[in-house]
Amino acid sequence: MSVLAIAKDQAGDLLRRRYFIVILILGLAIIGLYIAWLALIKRFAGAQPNMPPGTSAQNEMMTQVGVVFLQASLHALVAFIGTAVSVLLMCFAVRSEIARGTVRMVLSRPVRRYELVLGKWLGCVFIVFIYSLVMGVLVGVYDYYAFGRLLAFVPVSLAMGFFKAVLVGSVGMALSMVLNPFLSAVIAYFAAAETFLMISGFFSGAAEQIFRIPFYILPSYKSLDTFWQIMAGTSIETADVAYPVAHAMLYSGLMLLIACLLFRRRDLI
Amino acid sequence: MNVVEIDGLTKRFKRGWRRPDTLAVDNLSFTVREGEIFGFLGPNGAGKTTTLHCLLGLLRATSGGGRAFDLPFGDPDALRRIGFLPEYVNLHDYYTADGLLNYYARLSHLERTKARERVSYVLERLALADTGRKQLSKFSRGMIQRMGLAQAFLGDPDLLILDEPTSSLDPIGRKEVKDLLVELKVQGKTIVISSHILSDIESLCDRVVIIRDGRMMATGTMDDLLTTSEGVRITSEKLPVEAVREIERLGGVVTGSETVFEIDLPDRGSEYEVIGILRKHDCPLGAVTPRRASLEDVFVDIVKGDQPQ
Repeated sequence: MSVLAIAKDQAGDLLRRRYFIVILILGLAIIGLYIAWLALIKRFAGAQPNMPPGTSAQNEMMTQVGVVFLQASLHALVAFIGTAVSVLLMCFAVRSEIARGTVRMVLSRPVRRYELVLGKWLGCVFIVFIYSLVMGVLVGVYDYYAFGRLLAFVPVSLAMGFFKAVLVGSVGMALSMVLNPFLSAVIAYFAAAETFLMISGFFSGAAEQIFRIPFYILPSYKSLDTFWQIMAGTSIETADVAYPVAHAMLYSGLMLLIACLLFRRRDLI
Repeated sequence: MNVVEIDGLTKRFKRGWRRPDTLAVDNLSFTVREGEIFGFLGPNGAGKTTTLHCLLGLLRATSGGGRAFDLPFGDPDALRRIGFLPEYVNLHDYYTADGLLNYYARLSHLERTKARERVSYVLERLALADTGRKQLSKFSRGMIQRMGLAQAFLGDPDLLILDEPTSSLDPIGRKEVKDLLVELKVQGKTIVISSHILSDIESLCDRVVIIRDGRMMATGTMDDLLTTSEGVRITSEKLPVEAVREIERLGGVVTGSETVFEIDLPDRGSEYEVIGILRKHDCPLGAVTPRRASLEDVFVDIVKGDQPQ
């Protein structure tokens, strides 16, 4: 009961704040920009007078690549904004309650500390869900304009973006229990398994192996990205979705547990 | 029955690597009995708020601890019976007054019907009924303080912990709050007050504890603390000049007007001689009482002194 009340309070507070409106306006602006960009590509894609023979097919192919790139980059951008919003919200959720001093009002009632963390997390997840839903509708509108139909992979891609946002946010929330919230957000965003795989590539021998260790510990964000799959035009299989989503859910749960344990011992001055 | 038992509570704050810890509370022990108004006094930085926060489970004791309602500090079952007003009232100011109280009622696990009744009652009782729909960010400092009190009373708690309850309130507000506390005491509630307004503490509290540098300096009932061991005050409606001279020769200090004279004697024992002087001059005897110091005098003496009393 306390968890739901705290989640409702957190979501309500965030919805009331102006920056959520700003993000939605930003989303609308991005969709508008993409529609304009698409319209430009389509306009210049048609056969031009005095065009050398054979360039028409080449032109059509380039147009096709341009349209697919737009589609893929739109999904990547929506996921990026969603992740940034999620990690910032979750990193500041508990810390802002402590900084404002309101945490004393909450925890001097029969509310367990894990209930506060869980409630804050749920409130943020709800906001990220609302963001994904709104952006899903907007991306749907764009697709309908671009392709004349709704594409099957769109909801899958948005869902994976949502789980990525929750995963990065949860890592940030756990870090924010011991670190500055803004620093936590930055670390959480870059603390992906792939980052350390890439870093280990610059070294050899023992150093390479050392830099590979975090690869096995940290969560994988790349498996939740759909940019290259959309660019390659390959269909997204059930396994492509199920494993990364299960990984994201389990890792988010683990991070939430760590956040609760760290908050349990914390002095609330 | 003891509602709160603090036993050897020690709290150190870590200040960072290679910096010495700050000792906020040092082996503090005292009890709060059921149904009493208990004053918790000390100068700034004495460790009062730290102790109260340990009691609520907001801070973890370094060693020692205690129990509230026979449960460990911070236990949700104990917190269910406690209402807390912090020194600095920071509220979720995006709510309206009744919206916030409804939120806190949910956190206090109040049933919906009871929550509605209690929210109306505390808003009415703290003269906030007209501001129920007003957003808290538009509240004045005094109204925020009243809201702080309202949320503390909301769950009809058996124990109220009030850190500076009358600060930011005007004289009328202070009187209303004092009346409310007396009313709650009559209902059998236990109240712990930490305040710098010593006149409020003196008029309200049954017992007090005075701490300094995290250590207990004095404790006892108000009578124990304010009644000095030596010294007597005698009052009389009439006192001729000759009698005043004789009394002054005995070391007495005479103050007062034409209607009531007060004779302060520094030592016990000389009161019988003064009574004899009054009889001799045919002066009516008003009252003979042990001299009472003000809480402010006692507080200053204890806080500036070296030894615990």
